Amino acid sequence: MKAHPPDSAVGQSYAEPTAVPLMSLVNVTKHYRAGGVLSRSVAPVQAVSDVSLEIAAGTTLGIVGESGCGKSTLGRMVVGLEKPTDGEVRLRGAALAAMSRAQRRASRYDVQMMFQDPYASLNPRMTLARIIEEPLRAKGGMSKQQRKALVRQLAEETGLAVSQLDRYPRELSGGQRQRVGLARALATSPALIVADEPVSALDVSVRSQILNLMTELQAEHQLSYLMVSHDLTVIHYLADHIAVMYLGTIVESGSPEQLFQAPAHHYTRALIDAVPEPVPGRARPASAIRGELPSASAPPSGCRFRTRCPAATALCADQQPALREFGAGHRAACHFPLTEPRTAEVVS
Amino acid sequence: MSAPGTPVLQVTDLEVDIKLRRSVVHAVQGVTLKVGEGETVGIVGESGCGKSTLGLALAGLLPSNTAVRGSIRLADREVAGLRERELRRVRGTEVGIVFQDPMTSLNPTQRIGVQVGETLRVQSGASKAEARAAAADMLNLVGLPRPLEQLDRFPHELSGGMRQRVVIAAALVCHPRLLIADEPTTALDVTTQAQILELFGHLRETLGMATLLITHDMGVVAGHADRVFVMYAGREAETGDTAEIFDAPRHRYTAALLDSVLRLETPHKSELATIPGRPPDLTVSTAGCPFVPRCPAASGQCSTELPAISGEGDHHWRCFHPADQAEDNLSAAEAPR
Repeated sequence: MKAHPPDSAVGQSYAEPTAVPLMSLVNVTKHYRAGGVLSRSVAPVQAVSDVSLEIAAGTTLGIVGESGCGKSTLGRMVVGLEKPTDGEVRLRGAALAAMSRAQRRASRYDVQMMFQDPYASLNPRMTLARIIEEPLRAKGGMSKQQRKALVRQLAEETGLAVSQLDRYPRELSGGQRQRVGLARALATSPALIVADEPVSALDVSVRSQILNLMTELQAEHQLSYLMVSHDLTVIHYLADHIAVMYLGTIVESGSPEQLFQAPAHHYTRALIDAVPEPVPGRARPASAIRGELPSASAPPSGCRFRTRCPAATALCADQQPALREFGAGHRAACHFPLTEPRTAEVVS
Repeated sequence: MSAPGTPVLQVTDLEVDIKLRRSVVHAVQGVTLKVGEGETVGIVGESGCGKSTLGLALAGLLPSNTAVRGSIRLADREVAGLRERELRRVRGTEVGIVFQDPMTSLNPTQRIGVQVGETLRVQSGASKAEARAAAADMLNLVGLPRPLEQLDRFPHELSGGMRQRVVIAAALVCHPRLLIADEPTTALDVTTQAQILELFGHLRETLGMATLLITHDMGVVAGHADRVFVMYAGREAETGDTAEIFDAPRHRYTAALLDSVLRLETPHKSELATIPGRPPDLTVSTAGCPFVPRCPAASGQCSTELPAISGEGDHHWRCFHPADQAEDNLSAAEAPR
């Protein structure tokens, strides 16, 4: 028997850290107890049900779905703003819930958040310099001088003029505010930024500017993004891997090519067909799905999409479809998929 | 697709000034616009271009700190300068309005049936029973399931998409000739948006009303408008047949807007075309073309003189250096300063 060539051993030791994803969700579930004093309902809202996902370093995971599908809750659990009811959120393999206070503090600076509404997410009484500096002050370990220099550098990187740093958020346009949000998120040099609908409130021209900036920063800093959006064109453009969510569950996931060229789930197909394409006269398939999103506190039995699915049968009401493999990294949970699964086996 | 005869809406040289404490915003500056019977005209532009103010002016809903000059003829009747009482009559019977957020248009404490039938009660003195019956018919027409049950529900009991259907029903209950829809689907999910847009098409066929569709979404315009009116800095930049505007835009602003739209075909993480800078401050009057600071083709003449409207047939633009039809659209891909 031959010994392994030396470089393979080296390769293995290098491969070891990359094998642990930067961020992983393992069978994560989040329930909210419904109602307040006035509410009589007792069934909890099942915002996220048994979701498993991974984000590799330097890549973008896009989560797409309609309002109420649980995508924002998922994002908030990744940042640590919400704790899962069940399952684990792991940063570099370590469960957030099992971390010591010091570890959790450190991990907080590794995962930052960028919000949809740049008007609501910036403190109106702080100057831009102070807003961007704030996470650095919280983190500590830097002198005032060092912080100031870093704030200038962050402003330049995100396309803000240094002369603007003394201004207040109200003096800025929507696009500029979103640049401030990005600069603030970058301040603690995180490995992952959770971006919840970062460009939804912006005009098309400004949207392109922010998306360009996000792409540049990702390449420069080896950043990962968890991009949450209802906009398929944005997800298609920026995500390396996409997960489609419906009523708290992932119905399909895969690369942009896999999902857009050959979607397996009827919901994915319907989402793609609903994108209003800027091409006049292009024949638009009539929207196949009808009706409304069912209540998350009483989701349909079996497949949660069955009440709106054009292909649903009795089986779909009886049995929840498991995720099956449709290609390398391409999975969907459907009894009657649009394409043939690669294996009949169920993926755990 | 424009119908013969009198247009439903004829706007001529419309100006709207909004008086603020220390300044005046010239929100609409000399807009001339025509909407034919049964026609859908899309009004597009970035935020701050005056498109919503134009919509409010046409609906007679401007606040008291505004001054309106020019003419608005609705079905051959001048409505600019009408008093509030007369305007109220026009709204509802001649014009229906749908806004972006259905929750702001609906009264949260009133049952849906009452709200949808209200215009009919006020405008044509219908009895409670008549208004209720008409409301049920209308809810059925806009695709609300089990309309009779819905009459007694409150807005908060419905989803966003269903609420928007209720708003549309209320706007159309008196069968107005013109519907003004200001970003009617922006707050909705994609699949709901597709359903509401389908509904507009269906209602247009059934009721034959003309529609002014105000939106920032080029995709919505492409699929649903017969003609497009591109607004920039309170003025017309370009108007024309939807296909023509999308295939061969002549104004540089239209071209830049279309270039910066993200499409499903846009290559993954490729550098996107943008429009550098931002729309101008409308409190300041400028001599030349307002697009000059952001325009890739601007010359000296552009900053001293406002281009007149020129064009061929129904396709008009306000530009000294229109993009050639054969030429690839210039796209400016600089980062803003």
